[in-house]
Amino acid sequence: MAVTSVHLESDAFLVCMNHALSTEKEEVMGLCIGEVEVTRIVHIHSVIILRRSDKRKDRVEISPEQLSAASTEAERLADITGRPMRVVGWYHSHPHITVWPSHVDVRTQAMYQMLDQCFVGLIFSCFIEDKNTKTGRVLYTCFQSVQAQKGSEYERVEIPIHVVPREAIGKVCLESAVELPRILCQEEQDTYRKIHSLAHLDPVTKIHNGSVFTKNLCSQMSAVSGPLLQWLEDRLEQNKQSVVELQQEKERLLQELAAL
Amino acid sequence: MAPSDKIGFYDYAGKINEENLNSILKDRRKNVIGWYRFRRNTQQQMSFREQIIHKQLTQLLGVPDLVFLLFSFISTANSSTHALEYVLFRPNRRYNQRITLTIPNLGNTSQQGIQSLLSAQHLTQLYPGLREAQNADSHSTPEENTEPSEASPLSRITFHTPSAPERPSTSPNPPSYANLLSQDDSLLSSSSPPTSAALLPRPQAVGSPGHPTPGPLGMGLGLGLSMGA
Repeated sequence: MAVTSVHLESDAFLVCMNHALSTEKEEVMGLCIGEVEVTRIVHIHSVIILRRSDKRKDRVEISPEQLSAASTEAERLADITGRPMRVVGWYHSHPHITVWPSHVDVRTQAMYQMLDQCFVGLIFSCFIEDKNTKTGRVLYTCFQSVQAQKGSEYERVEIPIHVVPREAIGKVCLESAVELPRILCQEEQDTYRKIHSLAHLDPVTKIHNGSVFTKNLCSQMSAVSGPLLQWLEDRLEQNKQSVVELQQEKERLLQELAAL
Repeated sequence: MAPSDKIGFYDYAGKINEENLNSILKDRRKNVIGWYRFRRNTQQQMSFREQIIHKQLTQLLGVPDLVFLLFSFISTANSSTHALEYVLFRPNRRYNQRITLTIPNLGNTSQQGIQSLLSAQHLTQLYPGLREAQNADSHSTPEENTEPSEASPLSRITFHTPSAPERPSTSPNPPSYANLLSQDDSLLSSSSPPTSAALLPRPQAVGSPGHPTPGPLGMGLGLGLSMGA
């Protein structure tokens, strides 16, 4: 076994979950940045959200350009955190589908493993509901690929994954989290501009297209940006409250100390 | 959501400490609709203590239909796969205590109606009446939210009103922009000369001398029609 286990920092986990839960209509994907220890434990410190150019079902592939851009990002993170960081894995979501990787996923993972033996794959399965018990479920799994014998089909290998608790959300993960609305907006603008660059559009079509663009942006705001902003503001409030309480406790303790 | 891990609002016997509860809630008290609990490796049922806490909370907060959201966490033996399960309860009701929890996301907040970007070729493909309208001298202001019985062909384009998003339903597959673009190329070769702004007549007010009698239209028009597939 190339990798013994994966330790996923909870703030990076948060970004993945947020990303996976952002849409039930298509699979989302991203890359994991971190380091591999001598004990072959893969430590994931942050993730990068990627745009999918090919949105066909179950065609989750990362282009060489994206991998290259991610490596550059990893270097930037290495500079910030002072630790050796590189791309150590990939993640994608399976909305309404089982958490296990498909044959395509296993083959894609095998391909990445050819470049890096310790490359790991994460899958988040969401929007699952058991109609009988009205139970909703979100699952996540970690895997690698192995070939039983030369020339045979690749198979999934389970890798233990543990989420490592953190007191606070790191700056890097915070930046990744707010990248999502930015990416969505960019995609929408690109599509709109492409259509509008066609010369011969009549006024009615232009109105129609403008309305679609506005509607889609509003949809993004209500589903992604709005809740994200609300959550961040609530968290800030809570943190401020924590600070006040801690200061009060400090005062009390100082007084107790002075009384001794 | 207000996690109460620092100060608990109930004790081991399940008795609620009102003072602690108030200090956690402060002025958000009137907005409380329920409470949640996260447990690992346990059943998806309310524990006895949770039930008595729920009764007290219902009374103290004055919310008759207070809900309880239960999160439980289970993992496989080798810790490779983990599941977070969630159930929403309405314990104050006698029947149908469990409710489906829907997570609003990009896939289900899209409202009915306008979905796809179009280019001129598609517009004329969708609405053959448009061709006639371009040839005739007709009024071209689209009417909102109405399906007028007698109107010029172009004004038959209706915008579906979005329904109130109480329970967001999954909208039918909207065609992706990319499909439309590729269809563009195929249509360019097969269709008649593209519509240009010059061909469309300038809008004229209804009742003006130039206003024509409505032409025949075969189908009901709606921009909610999905293109292609």
